[in-house]
Amino acid sequence: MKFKEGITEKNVIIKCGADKFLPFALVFGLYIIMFGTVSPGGGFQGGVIVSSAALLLYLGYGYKVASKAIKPEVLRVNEAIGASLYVILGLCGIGFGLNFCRNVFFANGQVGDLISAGTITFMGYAVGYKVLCGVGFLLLLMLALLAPEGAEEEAAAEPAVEEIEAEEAAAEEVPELPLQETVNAVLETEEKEPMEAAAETVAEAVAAAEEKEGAAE
Amino acid sequence: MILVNYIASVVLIVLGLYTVCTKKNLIKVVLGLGIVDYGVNMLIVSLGFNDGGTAPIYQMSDLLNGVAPGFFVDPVPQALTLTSIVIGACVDAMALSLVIMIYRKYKSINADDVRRLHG
Amino acid sequence: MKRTLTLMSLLIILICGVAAARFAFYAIPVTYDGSDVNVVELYNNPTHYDTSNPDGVADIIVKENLEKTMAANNVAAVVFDFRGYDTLGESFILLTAIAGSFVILSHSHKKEEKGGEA
Repeated sequence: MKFKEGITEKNVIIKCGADKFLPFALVFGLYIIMFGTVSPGGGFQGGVIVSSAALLLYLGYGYKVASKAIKPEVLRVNEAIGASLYVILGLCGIGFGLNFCRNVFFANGQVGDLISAGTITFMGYAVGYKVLCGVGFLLLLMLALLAPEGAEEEAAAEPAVEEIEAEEAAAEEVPELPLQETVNAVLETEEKEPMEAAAETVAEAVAAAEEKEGAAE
Repeated sequence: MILVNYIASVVLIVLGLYTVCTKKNLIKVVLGLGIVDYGVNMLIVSLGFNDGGTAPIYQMSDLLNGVAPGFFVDPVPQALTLTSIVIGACVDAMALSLVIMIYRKYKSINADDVRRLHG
Repeated sequence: MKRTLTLMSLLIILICGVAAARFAFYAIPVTYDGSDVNVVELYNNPTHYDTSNPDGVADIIVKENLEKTMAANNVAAVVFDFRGYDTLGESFILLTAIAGSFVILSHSHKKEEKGGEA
């Protein structure tokens, strides 16, 4: 993936700071999620720390690079996967004959180990993954309103100008019945492929008008 | 049971209410709503404090060496405050997206301009 | 006039709140005072203490935590095991808020595009 095309010009200090802090945020957040049952922390706290990576990417490189590296559509799907994983782990207690959200896998080692707590550790992982994806998606969603408004307005203005030209060219000819069909065709094709279809129908209308002028003369 | 924490949380709640009632800018109103949440969370956590207690975690280094930490602070209000913090953050996110939609329709964030029903 | 009324009412709320905080600190009796539990003994011998006459819910949770869940973090055990149902509701709140924000922002964006072209 080439990122050199969409990078917006930012300050050198901010870019260097984002470079140095990004791996630290990722690894530290992962440590707090993993060791949730042994040291202070847990799923929610670690998930928010990892999701700050999206914000650091935006601060250093702009919105296009951030949305290419961390795709918002993928994050939106994975958030629901994390939530359903928590429910499945809660149903494991029912599979063993006890109530919902019951701790069933514990007593596997000493108190200070990672796996010794049973389903509590795996529930913590599921909640951490869910908060990670959810808060990252929310950040990218709100940051999308800031940067590419100019790019989207430019992209929306180009077919609009050509549509106006096509409508003017179609309206200059007298709206007789055969030309009315071409004008309707121009107005209908605006929804699907405005640029190419409008150009084709305008070319057909111009050719039909030239034939009529030649036949009239 | 710390007196300073109780008074500080009441001051935070009253400051948040003042911001919601008085300010005209809609974003400042949303910030005041957040401040009320912070004051309430601080009140809940400081209700469960015991004098001389430590954090409710078995620290491995202290316990294996035999250094006695004493007794524990109440762990239940701390666990329920986690849920309350997440709920506060979600309410702020929804309120801010509503403010964005208001700006798109009325072209201003001043609360006085948004009051009347435009035609 | 309206502004002075608002400030006066907020001042009354502040004074009542500070008086209530002072009352809560001095006059309400403390129910759970966990000073009779020695943590090192509890860690070495988890079945030593009996919970037939508890001081409150926190007493039972602190004493029975190492037996029922071998987790060193009491707060994580309370969040995910003793009150796991509340965490499920909280996960759903997060999901609903993010879905609602997505719907509002994308709907508002499409509205602006249609309003600009028409």
